[in-house]
Amino acid sequence: MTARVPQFHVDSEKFLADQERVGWHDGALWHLRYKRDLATQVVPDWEKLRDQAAAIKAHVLDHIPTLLSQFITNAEAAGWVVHLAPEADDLKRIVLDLLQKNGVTKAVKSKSMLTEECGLNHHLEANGVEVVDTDLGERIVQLRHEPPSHIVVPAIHLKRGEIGELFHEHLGTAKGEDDPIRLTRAARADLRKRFIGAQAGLTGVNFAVADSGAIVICTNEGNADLGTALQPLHIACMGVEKLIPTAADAGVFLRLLARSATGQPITTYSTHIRGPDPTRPGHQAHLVIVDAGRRRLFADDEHRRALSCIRCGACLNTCPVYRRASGHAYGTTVPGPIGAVLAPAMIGTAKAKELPFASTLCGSCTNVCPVKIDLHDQLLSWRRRLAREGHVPFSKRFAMKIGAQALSYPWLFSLGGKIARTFWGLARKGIPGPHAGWTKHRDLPPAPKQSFRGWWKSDGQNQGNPTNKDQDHG
Amino acid sequence: MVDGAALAAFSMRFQRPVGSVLKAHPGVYPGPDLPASWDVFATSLKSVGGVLLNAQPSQAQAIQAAIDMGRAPGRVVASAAAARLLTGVTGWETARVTTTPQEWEDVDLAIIRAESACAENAALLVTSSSLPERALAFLAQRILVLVPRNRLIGGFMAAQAELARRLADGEALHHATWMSGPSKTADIEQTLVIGAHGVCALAVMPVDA
Amino acid sequence: MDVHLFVPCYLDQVHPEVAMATVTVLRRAGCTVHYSDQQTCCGQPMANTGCADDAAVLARRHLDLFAGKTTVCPSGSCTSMVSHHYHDLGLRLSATDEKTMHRTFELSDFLVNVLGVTDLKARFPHKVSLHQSCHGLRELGLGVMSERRDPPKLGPAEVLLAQVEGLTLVMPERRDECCGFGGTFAVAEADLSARMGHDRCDQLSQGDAEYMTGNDQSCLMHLDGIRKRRGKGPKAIHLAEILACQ
Repeated sequence: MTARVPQFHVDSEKFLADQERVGWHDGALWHLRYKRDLATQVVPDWEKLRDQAAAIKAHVLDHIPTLLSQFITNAEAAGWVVHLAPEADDLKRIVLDLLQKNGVTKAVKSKSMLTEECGLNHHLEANGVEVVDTDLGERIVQLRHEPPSHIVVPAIHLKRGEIGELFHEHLGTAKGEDDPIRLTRAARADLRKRFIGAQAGLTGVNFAVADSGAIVICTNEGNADLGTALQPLHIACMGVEKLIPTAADAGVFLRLLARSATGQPITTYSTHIRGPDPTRPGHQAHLVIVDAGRRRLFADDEHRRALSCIRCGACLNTCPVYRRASGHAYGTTVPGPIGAVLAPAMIGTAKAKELPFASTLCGSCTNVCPVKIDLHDQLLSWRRRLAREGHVPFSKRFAMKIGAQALSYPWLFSLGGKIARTFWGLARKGIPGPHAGWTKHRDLPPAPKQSFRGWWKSDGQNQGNPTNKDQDHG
Repeated sequence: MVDGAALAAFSMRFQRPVGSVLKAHPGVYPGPDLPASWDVFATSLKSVGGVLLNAQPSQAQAIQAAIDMGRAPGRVVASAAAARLLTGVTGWETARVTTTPQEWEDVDLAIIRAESACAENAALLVTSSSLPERALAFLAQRILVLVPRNRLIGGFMAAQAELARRLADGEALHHATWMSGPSKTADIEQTLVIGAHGVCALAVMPVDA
Repeated sequence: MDVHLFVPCYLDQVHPEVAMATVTVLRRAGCTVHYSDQQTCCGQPMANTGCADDAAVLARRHLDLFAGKTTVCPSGSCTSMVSHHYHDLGLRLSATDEKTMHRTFELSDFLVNVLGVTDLKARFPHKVSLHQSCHGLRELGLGVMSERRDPPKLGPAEVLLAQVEGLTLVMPERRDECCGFGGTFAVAEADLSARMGHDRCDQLSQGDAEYMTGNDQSCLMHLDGIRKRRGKGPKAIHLAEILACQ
């Protein structure tokens, strides 16, 4: 994950300031959610499929050492050179060493959230290797020198005009050209040259199949295939949680992944690769298996299952907060609900303290998750952890403490209510103090003449039915 | 070879404590019984941007028409496995075994043979056995995929189970790709553009093999 | 049937009319309603802020007060706090506590699925859009969740509204999008919350709805506050109030 401290409140407000863009961003992501809904409606076993996926992942998380050993044995038999990277720095060192040993100055890379999280590109660039991200969205944000704002559609926060400007500057497209087809064609022409000219291809891994030593990589653009079939050196980087027992299990995930992500029945290219290509003498295939903080999530009984995530992005698309705050507000490589669940373990509770609160706990994320991570409950449990560790602001904790004390005494609660109702009228357009946020955007309801308990004592307990003619709906 | 001690140290970090109840694998999931119907395949294929062609009036004539379709074809290259199905068809060359696959960059139309097709998601299977000329299928501008008519599988669970058996049984497969339609992207304002980096058009023809 | 009324703290003080309507509806459905003024708050604000120990104090009070009783509450999220989240607070829960949690029902759920009453002889000749509050929907299962592919089954609120004379029900385009209330989120992330509320108000205005209803007054209070500030949109009315109208 990025080193900087996420500032969700500040950064989400920046994005919110452009109200028109917020509506546009919300609509673009809701469209993905809509396509996901359509795609899942025609799968007769959708909920069973999710159950199966969750059960496979739960099995995997309980058997990583066995599966890892089996995977490495089979991978090495297939010709992979396997490397272990306990930390992000190890990954960076291993990859740079391999590239330097092979005299690589130009590399192409298909999407890998792991390498993004470890800052691999920056390290390679700083050491004289040109790395070109080949996923179109990633290429766009790379040219803008900014991180992806979404794990599946990295440039979803940008409008076509902004991309047109960028391509005019970097790819020589006509000034003012903003047609997505023509812009995509320009990127295609440029990137195909880079595929051809690269001396190495870096990829991520979607699934690592233990019983055969194969990795599975999924793309729609074909960039992982073009970025492995042409270059003499392939380096695949995977988090240890990507293990699955068999290729048959991959079938379950392939049926879930693209439907959840974009509403396609399967990714356009779902490629299994096992070691170096025997038709190309001298072809090398390396596999780097990474921890880089995953052990902290693994050791956490309450949140371990978040390692099941297959990075489909469905929880981002459905999250009403993400849709209106945008990915950059989270300040982490993986944003949205899953990002907010991963971050406290990956970068520490102190740095990530705002993120579990960047949610209304509406639960839609939990319902769309193809591997059934109980995301909103995980956010809630992080909140408890943050409070225990003293990372919830004092004002909030103090208010809750006072509240709980006051609410332990019905007479005090009742008195407080009476006082509040007395001064209510003054506050209708603005409450002072910590709750000013309420009246910044909302009117208060009119103060009722009496509380329910007052009414019950005087009338309610004795009479038949209360009337509701006094209600104010205006 | 990975150093044993390094692997042990790495694995230790992901070891559940002694005495933990470990969850068993849920077992093989057969999935729903979906029909192996070319009509269903055609619908799926259309949804992912591909086109289904009929081998009419004859297989050779239909393939010839696909090659000549629309415009004067540029370079047409067939994989070795597909070449065997092109008797009576003209205007193509066979892909030769090469260590420099970059030379296929200027291919206009690639003709390849898929080993099976899946109706549920229009995925077509090519592997190092049927397509050792892997880069051809990604560098060409257009692609025609010939698939044996009797190799259509209904649901993807069954289709993938078949591939899984081959991998686990030790068949020396280097690569195996499920291809579903032409390459595509929607990274600019969610506008679907067919033809990202790979093929811009994909047609499928069921053939007698 | 004897039922014990669980009135959320903010309803008691700010929206007593909703709790009054709940009494009316329950009595009309044939229940004898009991109410103890020793109740205060279920602890949800504390729990959702992560302050489990503070929430536990209130949870303990609540469970002791309602011990073993059949409890009805006109709020999905407060009900879910008791029935689903009292497990999260580190409390030692007795068999009686578990029974109390299990016997705590949201109003519409209680009417339709426990009493089997769907027609409350209510009359409300208006166009009404339904806001399905998140915790009632996704934690208590009070409706069809748009994300899931479960066998379709109408939620109790829809069942009850269908029987109200003169009422035309409008479902918003995004059936179950969150309104942005989220408890302390509404204050801590006020701008985000308000933006979500504005968007939800727009959705709930579809089909020229005159009223927006739901089973959680907290969401409705947030939506209505936004509606009043911007001066347009359907008025908020709790489901119990519609069912109480004749």
